[in-house]
This record gives sequence, C-alpha cells and structure tokens, in this order.
Amino acid sequence: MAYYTSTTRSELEAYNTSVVNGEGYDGVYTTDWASIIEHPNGSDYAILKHDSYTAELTEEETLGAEWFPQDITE
Amino acid sequence: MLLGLGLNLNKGGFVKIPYYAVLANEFKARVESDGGSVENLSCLKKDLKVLNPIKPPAFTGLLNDYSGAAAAYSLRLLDNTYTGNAITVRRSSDNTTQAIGFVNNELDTASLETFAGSGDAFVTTWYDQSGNGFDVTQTTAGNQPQIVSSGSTITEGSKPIIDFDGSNDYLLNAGSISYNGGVSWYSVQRLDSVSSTKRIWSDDIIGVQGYNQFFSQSPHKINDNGTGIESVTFNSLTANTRQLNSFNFDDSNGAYNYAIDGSNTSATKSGWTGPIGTSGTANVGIMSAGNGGQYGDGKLQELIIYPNDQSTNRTGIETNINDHYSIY
Repeated sequence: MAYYTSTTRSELEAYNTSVVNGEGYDGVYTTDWASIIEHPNGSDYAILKHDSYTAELTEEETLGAEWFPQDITE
Repeated sequence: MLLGLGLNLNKGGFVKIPYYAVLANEFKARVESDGGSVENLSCLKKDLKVLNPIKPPAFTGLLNDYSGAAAAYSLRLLDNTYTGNAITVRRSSDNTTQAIGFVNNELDTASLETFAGSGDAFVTTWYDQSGNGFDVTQTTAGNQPQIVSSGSTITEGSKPIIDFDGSNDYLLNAGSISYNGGVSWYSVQRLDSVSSTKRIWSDDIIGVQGYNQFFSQSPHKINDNGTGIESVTFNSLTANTRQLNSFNFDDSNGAYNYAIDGSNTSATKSGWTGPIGTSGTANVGIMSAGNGGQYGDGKLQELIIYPNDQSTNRTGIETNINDHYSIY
C-alpha cells in the first residue's frame, strides 16, 4: 500500500480529485478516493496512492508510526 | 384435490393463525383454479393441520430475545421485525453501488456476487438492525472495507465476513451512544494481528477525550465520568483465529466481565467512579477511532453494542451467536 507525500496539501487534494473524476464515484455513497493524512509536524502530508493513477509526487511504500498521533489516554 | 371440496367457506378471520391460514388460502386458490370449491375454510385449515402437523418455527433473532441494543451490525438477520438491508456495497468494475439484503435470514450473497461480477466489492454502509438508525458508513473509497474478492464473497466458517485492511479501513457514525448503566458488546472477528493500538470499535475521536476505546489487546479505555480515561485489562484476542468476544461493563460500580469464546473472566475496575463520561465530542468508529486511526486489522462478522450491562444475558447471547457461527 503506497502513498504520495508532499509538503503542499493542495497537490494531494488535486491528486484525490483526479482519481475521483477518473473513477466516477457516485458522490453519495462514495465521494473521495482517500483522505489527506497530516503529519503531526504540521508540514508534511500524505495520501494513499491508487494503483491506476500516477502523479509527479514523492512515493513512499509505507508511512511510519510517526505519522499517526496517539490518543489521549489518561 | 378432493380435500376441501364440499366444505363451506367461512369468511371468519383465520388470519389470526397466519401459517395455516396462509396454507388454507393457497390451497383454496389452487382448488378453485382446478374448478373445485372450498365451502369451509375452517375445516380445510384443520385438515391441513392433520396432514402437515409440523409447523415451521417462526424465525426469532438475537435482538428479539435480547432487545435494547444501541447498535447492531451483522451479516445475518438479527431481528424478525427488521426490514432493511444488511449492507450497501460499491463494486470495483464501475464504482456503482447496490444495497444487499437477506435471504433466509442470511446475507444475500447470490445478489452480492452477481452485482460484483468478477471484480471486488467494498462496504460503503453497514446498516444498524437495532432500530436506532445508527448505520455506519465510509464514503472514502480507499477506506472502505472489502466483502467480495475477485467475484467471491469473503468468508470465515462458511459465513460472509467484512475484511478491514488494518491500514485505513473503517466505518463510522458521526454520533455517540447514549449510555444507560454501562456498556456491553459482542463481536465475531478473525483478526490478522492484535495490538493495544488496534481497535475493534470505539466511541471516540483521536485527540479528544472520548467515551470508549476497545482494542484487540489490553487495555480497553473507558471515560470515567469525564474525569479521565480508565484502563480496563483483559485477555488479548488471538490473531488468525475466529473468536467470539464479549465485554459487559457496569458503570455504577466498575464491575465487568470479559469472555473469549464463552470463557469468562470477571473483575472490578479499581478506582472507578462512574458513570461513563459522556461530555465532549465523539464518533462511533468500527475497527478504528471515530475519525480514523488506530485501525483494527482483520475481519468482522458481527458487532452488537448495548448501552448498559448485559452480564445476566451474556451466556444466552453468546449461545445465540455461537449456534449461528459455530465458533467453539
């Protein structure tokens, strides 16, 4: 499961839009290809790569645990 | 065809006994279509009882026997008054969707596979059978769990099951459960991996102090009257094994029991004040937090949530589930 990463959120939003347009989702039960993942550092972003759609973006094979914040536990 | 001929038709209400009334009416129609007549439907009904004395038992679902669920998700019918669908799916071939209901109280896999064709199908909605309308959905394609792979329904123990990939798949409802004395839940799953950060379900949003977080590995985390999150220890689930998991928590005193495949462990949460805190914001997330994250990894067949302590019904509920799924 690969991801595209960028420091520019709009680039990943544009990638999502290109997949949505290409796939022709119904807009009701399915509205997006993937959610933008924001790194806790606030400056890096990622989106799940669709196997059928490529983009001029940095590709990562996986995202490390540092991308995912922990919940409040106590 | 001789049966029923010469009998008097009594128009008085046999509808009070549906099964034999239906049979009698069907038989009457057949006799009349052959040119005969039925003069007494009451006698005909009695004749049918003699000839066909074994009345098929009416279907009774788990929720008929153990009512009061806050939310109930399953790929089998849980309530004989529920008339909705089980799921809505998106197929991979053209991304169109279709609702899939029940046949003989089980998921209509024939319709599901016909719709999916030779491709895959993903769950966009898992309908709540409790009557509370607490459906869980996923409108982001890449986060939708899978139920058909290459034209075949994904199964465990010959029953359909929904596969969550452990990376980003989850279903959610943008609401919270109204707890009334505690929380209990029963689930059937086959996990690919277990972890104290992989959730089965939760009423919570990551980054906010939610209500409940239930994991595949100890501890569960429950909001104690808004004062903090209390950790509740339990025996971890096992990866690559289908299991029936039950958890019953009394929020008046912190007493709880936890069972895997009917083997029960009871304890009391020390320091518990209660009741379950319900201030703040949360979503219900299935196999994740309510806003995604801490994704459960594996497959889920059924999840029934009660807003209170169901300890006294635990054995009965487990028996109902195991009778259907043959887990242990």
